[in-house]
Amino acid sequence: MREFLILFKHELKTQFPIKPQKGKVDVLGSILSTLMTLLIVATFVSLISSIAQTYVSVKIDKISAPLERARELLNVCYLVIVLATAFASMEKMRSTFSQQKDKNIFLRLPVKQQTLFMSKLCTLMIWNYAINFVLIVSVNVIFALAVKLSYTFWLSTIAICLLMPLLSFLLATLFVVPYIKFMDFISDKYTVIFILVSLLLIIAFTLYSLLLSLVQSLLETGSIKHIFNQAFVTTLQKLLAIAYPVNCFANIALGENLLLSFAIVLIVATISIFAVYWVSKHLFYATLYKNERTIHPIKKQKPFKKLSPLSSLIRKEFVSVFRNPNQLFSYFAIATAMPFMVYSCYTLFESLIKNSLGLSLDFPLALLVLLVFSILTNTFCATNVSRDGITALKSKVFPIKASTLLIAKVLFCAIVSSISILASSILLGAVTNLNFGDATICAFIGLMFSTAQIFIATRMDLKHCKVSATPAEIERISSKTVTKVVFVGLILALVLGLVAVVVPIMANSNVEFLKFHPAFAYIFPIAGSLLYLIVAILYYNFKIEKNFETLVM
Amino acid sequence: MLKVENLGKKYNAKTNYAIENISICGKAGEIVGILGHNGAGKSTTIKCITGMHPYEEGSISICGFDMAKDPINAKRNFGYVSDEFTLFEKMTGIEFINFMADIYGVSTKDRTTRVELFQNMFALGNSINNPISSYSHGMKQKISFMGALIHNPKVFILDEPMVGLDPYTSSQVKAFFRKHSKEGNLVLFSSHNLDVVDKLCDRVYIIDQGRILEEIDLAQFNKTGKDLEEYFLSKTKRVAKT
Repeated sequence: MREFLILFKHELKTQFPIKPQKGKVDVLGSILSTLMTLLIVATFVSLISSIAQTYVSVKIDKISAPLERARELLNVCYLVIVLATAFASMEKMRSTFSQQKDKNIFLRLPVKQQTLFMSKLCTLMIWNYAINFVLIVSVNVIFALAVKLSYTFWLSTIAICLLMPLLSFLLATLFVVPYIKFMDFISDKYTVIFILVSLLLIIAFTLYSLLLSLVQSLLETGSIKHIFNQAFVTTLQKLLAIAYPVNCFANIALGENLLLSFAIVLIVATISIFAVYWVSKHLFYATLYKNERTIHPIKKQKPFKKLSPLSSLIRKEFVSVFRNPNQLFSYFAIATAMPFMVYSCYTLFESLIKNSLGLSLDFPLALLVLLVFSILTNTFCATNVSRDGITALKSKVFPIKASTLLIAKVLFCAIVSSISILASSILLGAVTNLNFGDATICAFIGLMFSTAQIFIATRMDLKHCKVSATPAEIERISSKTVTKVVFVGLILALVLGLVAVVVPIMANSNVEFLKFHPAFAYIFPIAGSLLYLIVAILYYNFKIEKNFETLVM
Repeated sequence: MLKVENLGKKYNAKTNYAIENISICGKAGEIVGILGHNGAGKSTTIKCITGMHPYEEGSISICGFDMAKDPINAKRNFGYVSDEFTLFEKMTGIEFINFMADIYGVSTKDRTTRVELFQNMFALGNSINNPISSYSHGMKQKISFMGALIHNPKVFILDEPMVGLDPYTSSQVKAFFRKHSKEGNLVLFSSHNLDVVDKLCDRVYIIDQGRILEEIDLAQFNKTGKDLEEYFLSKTKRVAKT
């Protein structure tokens, strides 16, 4: 038992790495991070709450059935939770059981393999329960606020929290073996990964656009009831009728068919416990003595080609990012999907503004959307130095200036970002009613603005970089840099965009001194972004050599 | 070729010196060793010499170029293999060597000749075309050697170079050290392996608690009939219990 407890404690610490922050606390970064998180949570909660309130008041054949609608909506939410946590559990099972990680360390120690397995399985269970608990409680609280429900709802919430994680675990268990095989197969096929993640991102953004169109409908009509019509509800009912056994949870929550639903869920839970134990054990023992190193087929050596140090450093950046699936997603896939995102958002808001305000604000809107998405794409640059880890320190040995080493990183990001911005502008100019002249100016401003963001993010990362940091620490440090860069970028983008909006409106104003020349709508964003770029370059170059020189462990 | 004078380094202004008053000299054609226990200051000294760590006191000159005043030219003249084989893991072995050759401006002809030479010396074969992340510890070390030697540096600096090498590669590396020094270059390495230092070096610096205790000319020392291990332990006040 003592052995189990020691291993279990070790696993808990690995899976939940909550450590008090040491050293100098980044107050501004922490405040901005907290504010941004609160803003996102508040927006999400109010949106879901609003959708829930609207949906439960929908009348079918002029008859209102709030409990029935609540059951349908709860079903949808639970289905999403089960699918999302099943996927997350599948990934967690892969990393916990099928990868070598710390197993080879414990193999050398006098530790029973079964005890090690049990400690890993228990930690995985706790992790799954924790994730499910947060999601289920959040959904149920939003529901309780939208629909008046009795105290039994809270009692059933406890039962759902205990039983639903087992369902997502069962689903994960069913698909984990083919999932591992697939992941192993594509692990070194970077182009395939790139295409897959880009496609997934575009699909995710299509769903997001769908949500935005709901918001548009809400803003235009004051309600979203016309989307939630009889045909919609009937289709949803048909889909949910076959969504066994997820639909049993909604029944339990609302006290309908309680005994039957409980019986089904308990059977599923029992099967799940056995299945999870059996499959996890199989994965654990199958990979216990596995050699992690992949055997690569021998490739033919390419002839040597000499490059300049700068070109070689840019190439190195490309290779490092493209061959790392996480970084490939964070940068290349997002940059690839950006034109699509810009186009979707632009068309959505353009029609919204035209319909609700009667205004045609093509240029300012295109500019604002382009700048916001370029900001989001360039958040990756906040790890430009720190993601190299200890190799950043080793590159101090190279006979090249720190400015050359770092400008290679900036140039690499600027190339990716520029291609993305140019593609977005061409798409807007070609497909939407934005004329090509305006699209060209948008691209020009976007390029300056985005390059400024890259300069600032890289310099901030160098300032806060800790080369010996673990990936989790790098993420924590860079998240604060990201927040600051995004915050400054969003404010500037809003100012530039708003001036471009206000100038044409004010041209028709009666107040003489507010009548700016229409060209000002273009001059101000161009001058503003140019000034931002100059400030960014100055900030970037300030004591850069000294800062790099003092970069230590 | 290498002149380190009164080198001093603190990791933190409030703490004691990590290394203090270190003076090392290396001439063309020599193999020089820095010998010390774990934590004696060997790695810190080497990291300062290679420019990885800034230093507060003293001066470092490599092939006549001052590390503080002209770091680029100083760095152009040495190749360095660290004790941690931190390489760009996503690159293949050959991509890494090519990258290093680009950084040092090595011509296509020279890099082709040298890669062939090292490939045979380290018995790497075609695995040089595989990603570094797939390499074993020893393989990573061999790639580190190749990357550091691709520009045929006048000064070759290594931190604990023999750790993890198989006997064949270890003997090849030792032979290369001798060949490289005979060609008029300097090899400087740190080690706590007395046997390697005794067989390979012309001169040895014994370092303990961040200070140089003694500089030993091994040819002269061996004539005295003393045992290097016993001498080292007595100097560092850690007598072996037999």
